[in-house]
Amino acid sequence: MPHPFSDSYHDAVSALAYTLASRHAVGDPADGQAPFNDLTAFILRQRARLPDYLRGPMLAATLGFDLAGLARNGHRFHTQPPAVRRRQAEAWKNSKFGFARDLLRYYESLATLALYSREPSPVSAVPVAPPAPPANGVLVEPGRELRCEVAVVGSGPGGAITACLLAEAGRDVLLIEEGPFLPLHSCRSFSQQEMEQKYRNGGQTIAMGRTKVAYVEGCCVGGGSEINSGLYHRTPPEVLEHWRQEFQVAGLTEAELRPHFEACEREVSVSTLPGAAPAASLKLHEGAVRLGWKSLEAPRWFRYDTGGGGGGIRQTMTQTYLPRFLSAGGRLLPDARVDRLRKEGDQWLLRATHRAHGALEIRAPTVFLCAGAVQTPALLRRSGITRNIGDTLQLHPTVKVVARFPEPVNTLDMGVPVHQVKEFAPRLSFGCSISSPAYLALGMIDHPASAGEASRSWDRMANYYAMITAEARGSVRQLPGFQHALVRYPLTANDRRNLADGLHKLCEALLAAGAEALFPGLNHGPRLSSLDELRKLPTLLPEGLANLMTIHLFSSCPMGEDLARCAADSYGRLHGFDNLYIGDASLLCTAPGVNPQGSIMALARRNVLRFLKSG
Amino acid sequence: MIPSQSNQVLVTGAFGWLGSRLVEALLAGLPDHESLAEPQADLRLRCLALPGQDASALRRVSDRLEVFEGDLQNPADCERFCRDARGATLFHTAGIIHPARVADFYRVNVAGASNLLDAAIRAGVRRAVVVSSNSPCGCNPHPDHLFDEWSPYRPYMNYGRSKMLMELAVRERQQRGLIETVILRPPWFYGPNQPPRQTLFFRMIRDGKAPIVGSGRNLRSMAYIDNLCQALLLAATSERANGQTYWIADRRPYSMNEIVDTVERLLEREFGHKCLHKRLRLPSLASAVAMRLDAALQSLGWYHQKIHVLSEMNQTIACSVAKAEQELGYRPTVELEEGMRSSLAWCVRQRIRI
Repeated sequence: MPHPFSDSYHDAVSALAYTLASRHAVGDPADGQAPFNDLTAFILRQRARLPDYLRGPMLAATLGFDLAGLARNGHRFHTQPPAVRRRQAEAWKNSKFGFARDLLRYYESLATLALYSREPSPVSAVPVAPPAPPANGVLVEPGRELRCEVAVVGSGPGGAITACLLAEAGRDVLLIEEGPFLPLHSCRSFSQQEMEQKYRNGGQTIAMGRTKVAYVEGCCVGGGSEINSGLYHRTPPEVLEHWRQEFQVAGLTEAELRPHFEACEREVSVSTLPGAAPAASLKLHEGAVRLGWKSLEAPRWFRYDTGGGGGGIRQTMTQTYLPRFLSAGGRLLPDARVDRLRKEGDQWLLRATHRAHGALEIRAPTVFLCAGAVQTPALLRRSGITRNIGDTLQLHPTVKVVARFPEPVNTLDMGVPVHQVKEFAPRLSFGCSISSPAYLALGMIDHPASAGEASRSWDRMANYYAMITAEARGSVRQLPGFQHALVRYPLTANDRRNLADGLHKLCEALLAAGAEALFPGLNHGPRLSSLDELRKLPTLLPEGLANLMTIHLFSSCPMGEDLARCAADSYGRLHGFDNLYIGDASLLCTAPGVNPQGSIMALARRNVLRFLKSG
Repeated sequence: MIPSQSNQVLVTGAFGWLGSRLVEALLAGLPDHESLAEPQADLRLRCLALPGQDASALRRVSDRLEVFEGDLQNPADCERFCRDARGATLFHTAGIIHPARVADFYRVNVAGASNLLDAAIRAGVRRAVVVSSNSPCGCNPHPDHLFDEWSPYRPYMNYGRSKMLMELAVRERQQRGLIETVILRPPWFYGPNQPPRQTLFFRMIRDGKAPIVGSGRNLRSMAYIDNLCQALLLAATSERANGQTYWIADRRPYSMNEIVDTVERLLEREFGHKCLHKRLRLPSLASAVAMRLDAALQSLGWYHQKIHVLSEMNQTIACSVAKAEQELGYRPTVELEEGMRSSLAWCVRQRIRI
């Protein structure tokens, strides 16, 4: 990080890491003892991964924070004794200024994650990405110019299926992926390492707005399928009906989609758990059933070990469609980001940058964009294609709550929770999420008085979420001079009301399940332990004080024949262009209210088969 | 004790504070650590001494010890020192910390170490254990900070830069697979055999002139010389230490006040010295001024020991030895009071007037 303030930045970050981490320090050295230089190193690595337009402001705010100590008592923050530093950090955390709160929250999240992700032997645990597996068809040293019949940009669920079926139909396909080609088991699922290896911007992606929504995108071969939980739903029939009516999408009845759903489900082994679900997952289910609410077990794309126990292999794209693609003779180019595309005669010219080898050009008569709901519109807009592109981004805003039960509900190998409460779907859905000690500690950041709880009682605690189908429409824009896309998402008052309602109902179900304490993801939110206390929850989520996230993004280039609102036709071809197609979550006309990967895969399959049939 | 294809051990700086104690430990064993208590019977020791250093004391210790005269700055001397040492273990403890001229830092600490390593590589020496310092990482950025192996380089002036360049030269040769290396980073060390500058420090404490800059609550890690010898011997034998760097010090850092108070207490209660119970208290500004002055002098190529030491007096220089404990099995048994007691007793035995 060679910039003129690098030493000052390092010192401020180090002092912050020590201040924030020492609150968690408990007896066991591996658990949280000084030194905390591994935390500082992680934060510095993450800074380099921040979206480029955030790096400058983050540096300025951090140095400002350090200098603010001068104004208070004549010394910069980092030179002061720990107790004084703790007070300044608290003051900023509770500041009335949003940027001050966000700054401290950012550092506390990173420090907490790194602290709770420590390996038993922390000092030697330097993260090293394993080398890419050698495979036929993987271009490690591409030339400066590449040609192919079809270029597919993005290797997530949409791109992998598209590329696979095209290659199996005998087309000469080049699949281009910005991220690295890593084996599924290059890191533990939902770990800090995974975040560093496979998430875009190291997981530091944010939809801007008065209430920010943190989101996550995969950035590796296999895309989102490599990092998500693998929960599967078909697109609900009423959602398909809505898309057909409102967006004039042809060929989208349930009957027309069924063969595509079925084919994808076979390929990725969609199945239910052979044995018992994790206890934390069952808790929510019990609570919902006690209240008479509908709750179900969502199936996953997972090949379970025979003999139960829930072990097995998640059927991600690198386990399914991508090996098929490579054996059909497809070529895969990882580590290459497509910067722009333009028409050159009857060819598309893609200008790309390879991580190791620099600029390269790819020519293809046909292009499929499958880079996801943020990157596809960003690429199009960079290329000057803007009509109905990136104007209607949707997502499933999600608020979380940590629950503590009187008895153990959590284990270190808990696996993925599978129950979802669908009583209020599609408006609200509830579920249990990843509850490793690190994720629990992150959830407890809003409750500083109970900070040590996650290390003491993590086995009795779990994370739960309430997710809404929102009415807000976000945007994806490319700022001039910057590389990373700016995502904005202005939650409406209705959305905030629904989120508050969702949080309230989720808490109700958890109390019905016997939870003894609830810690909602609201800045300095109340700690709840009885139905009576639910009154303390707001009925409208306060702006800027709720900590929202999402892992579902879509609808940034909706499909359909309604030219006023749609970017692509009913089968993904961009309106006004020949041989330029979209095949990812961007096409979904609106939020489906369920995990979207099933919809993305079925639509991609439907569209690519149609493309092949039409010649 | 030194399991290798060879029973040959090479030691540079064998007449120095650390080197002479290391030679004793190699020949007599280190009772503090069970795995090091027994010396290796057939050990053959070769020591490098500067021309003119008095080797008679060392030669008296054992007949298994040969002394080579030579200067690290001369490649031919290094060549001679390493000749026929295939499979040997090399301890590089020589270095210069308070030179007359800044350029000496680089001539001895960087060029000298490189000459030595290259000669060792040509001779087929198995492993080099190299003594560095805290100085490549400078001073801690905040008062509760502890250095560990994650800490980035931020060398403190020319000494720190020279030790950093030495570490880089060592690591580069290890990474090319030319030789096994282990780097140890001890901060301020203490113990028997101490040089006159350390005795002066005791005298200043007795006379009420121990300088305390700022509050005196700043932490300093110190390495008792036997703890450091223990780490050196462990680093020579540990399989996984190859290519690693370890911070080596006593189990915990001490505040400046604790260091001075401890010595004062021992002087008075156990060694019969009447102490004035005063401190030379200086504002932090004194260190800040000294630091500027030191930097200015060093930029002109001059080095002044007292100004340099004063510039560091109010700084925190503290480290964690967790990695050495985990990976080397390092057990620093001696702490401040016991270590200082040994130092004072040694002064008495040597009839050194405090």
